[in-house]
Amino acid sequence: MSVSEVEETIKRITGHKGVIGLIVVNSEGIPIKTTLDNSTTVQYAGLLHHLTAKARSVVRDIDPQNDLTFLRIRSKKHEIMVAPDKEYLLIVIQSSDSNLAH
Amino acid sequence: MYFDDTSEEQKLFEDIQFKRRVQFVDDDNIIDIAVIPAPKFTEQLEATDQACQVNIQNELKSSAAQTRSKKHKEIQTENFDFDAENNSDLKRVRKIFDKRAQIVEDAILENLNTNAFQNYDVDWYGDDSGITNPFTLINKQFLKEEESQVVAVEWNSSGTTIFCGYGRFDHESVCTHKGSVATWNVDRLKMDPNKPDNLIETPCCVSSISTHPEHPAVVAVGLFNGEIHVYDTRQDDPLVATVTDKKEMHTDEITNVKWVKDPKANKKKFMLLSCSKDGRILIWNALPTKNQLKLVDGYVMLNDFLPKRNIRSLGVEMAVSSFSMNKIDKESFIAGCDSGGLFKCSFNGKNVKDLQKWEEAFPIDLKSPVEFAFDSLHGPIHSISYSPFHRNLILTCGTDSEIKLYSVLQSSCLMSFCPENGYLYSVEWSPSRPCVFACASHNGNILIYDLIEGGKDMCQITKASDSPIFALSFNQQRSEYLASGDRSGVVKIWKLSSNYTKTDSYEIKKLDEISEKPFDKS
Repeated sequence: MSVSEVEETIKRITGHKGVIGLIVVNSEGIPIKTTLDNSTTVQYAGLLHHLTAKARSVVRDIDPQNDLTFLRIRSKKHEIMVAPDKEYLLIVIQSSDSNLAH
Repeated sequence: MYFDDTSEEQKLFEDIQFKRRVQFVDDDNIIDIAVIPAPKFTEQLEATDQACQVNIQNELKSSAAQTRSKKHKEIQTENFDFDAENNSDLKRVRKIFDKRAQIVEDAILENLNTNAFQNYDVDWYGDDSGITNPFTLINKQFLKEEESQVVAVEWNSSGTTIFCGYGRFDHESVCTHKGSVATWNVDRLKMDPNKPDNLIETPCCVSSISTHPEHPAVVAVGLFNGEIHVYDTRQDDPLVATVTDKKEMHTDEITNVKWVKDPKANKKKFMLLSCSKDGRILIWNALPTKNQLKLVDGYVMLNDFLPKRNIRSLGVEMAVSSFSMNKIDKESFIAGCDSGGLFKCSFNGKNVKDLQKWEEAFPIDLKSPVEFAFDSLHGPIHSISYSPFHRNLILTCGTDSEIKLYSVLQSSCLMSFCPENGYLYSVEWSPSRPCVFACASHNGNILIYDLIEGGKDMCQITKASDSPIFALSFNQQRSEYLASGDRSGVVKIWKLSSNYTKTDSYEIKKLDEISEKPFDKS
């Protein structure tokens, strides 16, 4: 996967209906890639980094053999999806009223 | 003194110092002259010299060298690290996209197609349904002098102060009463509900008021005798503008005043629009510096515009009883008449003289605003409200005791509600919930409709007063506050429960559905 392929993937994901933005955050909570503006990115990155770490510790405390694979937060306005990885978090924010089913 | 008898020790010390200096010069360091002049053995001089030496020997020489080497290292390290980090970052970012892009995309698509959250809502605030009445405001002093009714209430632009207009609706001929405008700031700690913060007396009954959209202290007041006054409550003499030319004045009761954005110019200037029972809709430019309202434009409503007109009544003016601006399209508005006619109007009308035989002396050429006539209602229309969230939907209410929901795209009404017997005086959309509106009834009830709910739950009835309620106003800034004014002269502030203020994302879709229903069938 080359640089352009990464850009292409980002473009494809953000091109879906209702997708507001995409952020990649490293293990220190510092955003590395983003499609949002600076202040929004920093806010999302900081808060979701904490929440994901907390969520992961909940899962692992309940069952040490288990692990967090995906975190979805449904709110009135947004659906925030967090895909954790060894060192990075992939965060995608989608508006929750962009539903095609009704 | 101390300096005079230099002790042995001091001499010794000075000697050492001098030797050092010599050594230092010998040391092949390019530190010359400055050190050499031997001090004349006073402590002060020595001290400065010492400092000098120390500086030169220890700090300047060695640290300068150190810094240089450090700098060099730093540059190297930085460069190296930067490259490496960037590379590994990119690799890892690629990795995460390789692994995680698919799952995220699946989730996005799932979100787009799910029904799971439709109409799902969490009740975080518990059940606080029901409406409470935190304030009851009575203008005791004024009501003692004059048996007055509340004919209009409106919140100011900041949402803190309620402006109430007092007058009467039951005139038989000329008005011999006094009117007034009172204000209460509901945020003030020491607010007295029996005594207004400001009271402005008017020469005759107030028939309508409109608060300025930007200046919280400015209010326009329409009077029963056709005069329009603009008041600024901050001033000692509150009257800041009025109509000075008698020829331009309305000749009958002002039924509505409203501040509107200048439809012609793009400037951020607000003009005052007034409509009256003499059939005219006039636009004024308020000039506080000249204490004057300058007539800018004018329109006239004639019986000719009615769809089913009587030939004998051609060329006769129709009393304009209610009015509402389109919140999205600033060029168009809806006007309702005492005859029951309901019209979609525009500011781009043609001169009425070219269209109809209507001759009357007036300083400017009046235009015909009408674009489209809706099916007539039975009896005067008391209130019209344009939806703030949907460009086509309007609500009307009047003496036929029905609330009617119209789309501006068709002449027949979409829905009608007949809550109870008796006149309905005022209807207004909620500023925060697209599907909610409130209506004031003759029986003293406030009816709050929620179009999302069906059947019985759609309408919540609150007994607000024993006498008819003439005026209603939502607070545009704090949508949980609703003000009502009744015939006995009492203004009540209501606090709505949170389910009337929390917006649901499906509501605008529901409005779209309602407005497009008639077109689906065909």
